[in-house]
Amino acid sequence: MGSTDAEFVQRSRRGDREAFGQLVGRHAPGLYRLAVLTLGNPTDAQDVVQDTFLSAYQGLDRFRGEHGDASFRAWLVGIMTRQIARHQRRESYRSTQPLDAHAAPAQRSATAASDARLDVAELLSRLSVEHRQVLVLREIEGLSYDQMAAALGVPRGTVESRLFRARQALRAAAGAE
Amino acid sequence: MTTCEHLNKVHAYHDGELPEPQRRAIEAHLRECRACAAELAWLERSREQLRSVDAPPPVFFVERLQRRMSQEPMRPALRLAWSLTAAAAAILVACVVQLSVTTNTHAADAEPATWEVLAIAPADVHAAPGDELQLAAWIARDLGSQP
Repeated sequence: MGSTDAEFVQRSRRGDREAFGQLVGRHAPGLYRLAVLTLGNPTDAQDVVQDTFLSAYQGLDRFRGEHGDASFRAWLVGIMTRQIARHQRRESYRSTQPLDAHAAPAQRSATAASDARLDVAELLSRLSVEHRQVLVLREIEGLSYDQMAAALGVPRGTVESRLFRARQALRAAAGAE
Repeated sequence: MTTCEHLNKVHAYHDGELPEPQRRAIEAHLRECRACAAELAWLERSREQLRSVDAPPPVFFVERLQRRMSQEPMRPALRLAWSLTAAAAAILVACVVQLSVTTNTHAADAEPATWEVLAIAPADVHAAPGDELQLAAWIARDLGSQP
């Protein structure tokens, strides 16, 4: 039976680098997916994910772990959200970067399912980073409104209204097809 | 486009964020409002499509990241713990050395200085006969020389 995140965190705090490597292996793919769908750029996504784990490693003592394994993942997502904000300020990111580089591996497939995935990726690319971020955090990462508020550093009401507008924007982009 | 004032509650219902009384109320409303029912159906479809978007990391990205993390310097908290332990050990050694040096110094200082002996034990010193006249002359001379 594998170790839980909490066990790996405890071992990491005591200097066990292999344990932290296990946490990286477990969470990096999911964080990368969130980052690339939010930023629309694979290189930026890799930088943000690396900065997230560097920050997490240095700040392990600040992780409280009150809610089991879901808490460590949520903590990482919170760190990554702040890294994305820093990245945005540094890069003055433009909101219309295409997502097709990593949106769907089967870009040449003729099936309806992969066409639908491409459509959604294409639609996402037309949204602002702010709207993509709330959609990704809610629909893919499954964060609650309160968790999103904590991660984004905004009130719960802001999360609700931002998510509502993001979905309207997504629908408008689909309606323009 | 047909809208309804309850649309935002439909979104919260879709996200599982409505408390029980409001959830039941919206479920009842959905049975009667076509606009809200259509909105809910669209929300469920878009969620399914968003979740189906695959975006795997580049090949060897995770391995490179793990290697990068293994080269990261020791965490500050751990580094501080090691530093404090080393400092405590150094202080302990210094105390032991100082204690040893102090003990040897006290052993060498056991015998008092000669002037100390003279100052506290003048009783054995006596003037020889005739010295009283010489002593009186010196005192008179000294008194005469004072302003």
